[in-house]
Amino acid sequence: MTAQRLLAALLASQPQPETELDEASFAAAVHDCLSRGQDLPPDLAALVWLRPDARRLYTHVRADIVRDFTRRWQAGGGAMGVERLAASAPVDEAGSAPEAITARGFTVTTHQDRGSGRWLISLVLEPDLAAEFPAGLGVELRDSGDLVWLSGSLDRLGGIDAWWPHEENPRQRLRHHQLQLAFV
Amino acid sequence: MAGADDGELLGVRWPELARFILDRARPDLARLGHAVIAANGLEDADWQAFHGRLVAAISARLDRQDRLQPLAASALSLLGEAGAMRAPIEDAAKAMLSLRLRGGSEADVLGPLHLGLRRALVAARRQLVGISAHEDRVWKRLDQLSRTFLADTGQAWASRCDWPFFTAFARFLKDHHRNDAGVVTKVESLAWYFQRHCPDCAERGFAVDADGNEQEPAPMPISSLPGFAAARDWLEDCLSGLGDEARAMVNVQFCLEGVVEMNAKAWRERNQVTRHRYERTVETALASLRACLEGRISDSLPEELRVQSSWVGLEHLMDDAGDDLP
Repeated sequence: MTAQRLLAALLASQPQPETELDEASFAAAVHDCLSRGQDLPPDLAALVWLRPDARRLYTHVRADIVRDFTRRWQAGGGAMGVERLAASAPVDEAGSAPEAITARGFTVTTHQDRGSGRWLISLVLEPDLAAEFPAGLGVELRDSGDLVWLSGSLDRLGGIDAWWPHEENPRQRLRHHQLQLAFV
Repeated sequence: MAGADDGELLGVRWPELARFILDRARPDLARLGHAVIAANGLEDADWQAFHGRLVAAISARLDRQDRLQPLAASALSLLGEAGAMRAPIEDAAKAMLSLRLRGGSEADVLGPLHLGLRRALVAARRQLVGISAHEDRVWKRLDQLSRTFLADTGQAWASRCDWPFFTAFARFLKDHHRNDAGVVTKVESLAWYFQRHCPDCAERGFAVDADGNEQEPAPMPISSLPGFAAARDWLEDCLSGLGDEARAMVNVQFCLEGVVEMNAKAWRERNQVTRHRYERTVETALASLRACLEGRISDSLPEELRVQSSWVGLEHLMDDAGDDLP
């Protein structure tokens, strides 16, 4: 995290080279790589680090890809949010049995580790929808109180999990908040 | 007119506001769709009933003091422009009936209504925010030229609403319409016009800045840039090349590994370093680190891709035409 701050400071003060970037070629090449889930070749990746204009364009093109995937996800029936139904079975807020909350396209599971008492949160996309997920994009699960539950890249099985870093019991939090999925 | 709070929601937070309304409208859209099919067109009473139910659903959110409350308030302002919303819904109703005649499934038939509602929200927003005559003229010219560009290039653009298109169209305008006073040629300016006016962009839920400011996507975390891990490793090498004092100051300034968090003032006092000297040393160290990092990145590339001395980029992607951009 700390190295990120230093890198961010270095890039923020990076001057714009006088030579003009061929934006059309660069944007087309980046779009082609990202939309096919491929890593950028070293020359294109280097430009992202060496030129503010290339970095800005890369950010825009990546946002295009995120937007397109989000649109395809929704068109394919994928939901962007989920809440625990009030009518569901009584919630075991202290127990160790996993609780899964399922929406169209993804499932969120909360599970308390019996030994440490820590909560494990996991998110799994449905295989058919996950198969189309462009490599290099990330997911973020945030609740309606603006608390981030999960953030990062999907593993090869289309899932992501993390220990719950907050004090509040996540299942109690679900009494009052919806969960929202975002592709980032 | 839009209020001060509405300004942000109708501007940079427009996608969030549109999504909020669409989420609450969707459950009722099928009912409107069935009414359209039953009446063989959009009846005023059905549209008013749909609009009224949506307003009621959103009004119910107003009393809740949560983060969605401002969205509900702005949504109601937007839905006040019911007149502007009507035409896109009517167009959608026609498209629905056409699909119905061609034997489309229910899901197919309702598709245009989803799109129509999104377009209706965009129309209401335009009505609320206001579009100047100049902006309207520029957009009409860009709209016309972009269609010509699409036809001439014959390239299968997915839409007129992504950055590969914006950059290629900017190149076309610079090459062929540089002296056309009615167009803009900067990529960012083009993106702004298309995101604000082009129906393709409305379909894609693009963010639009209502105040005419350049619209930027949310800044990406540095860790999401391609090659981040390698850059971080190179930076560590570069840090080790700094002098002891400069490295200590950079460590304090950026709370780097191995340094107990300490503010710069406390560190300066303990080490009897003036603020001026501290700031100048950090500034020089950052310039040195940046040069070192850029050199490492350049050195990592195959010989044929390197550019010697002060790095400006990769030549095969450079355009030396020296455009005089507006």
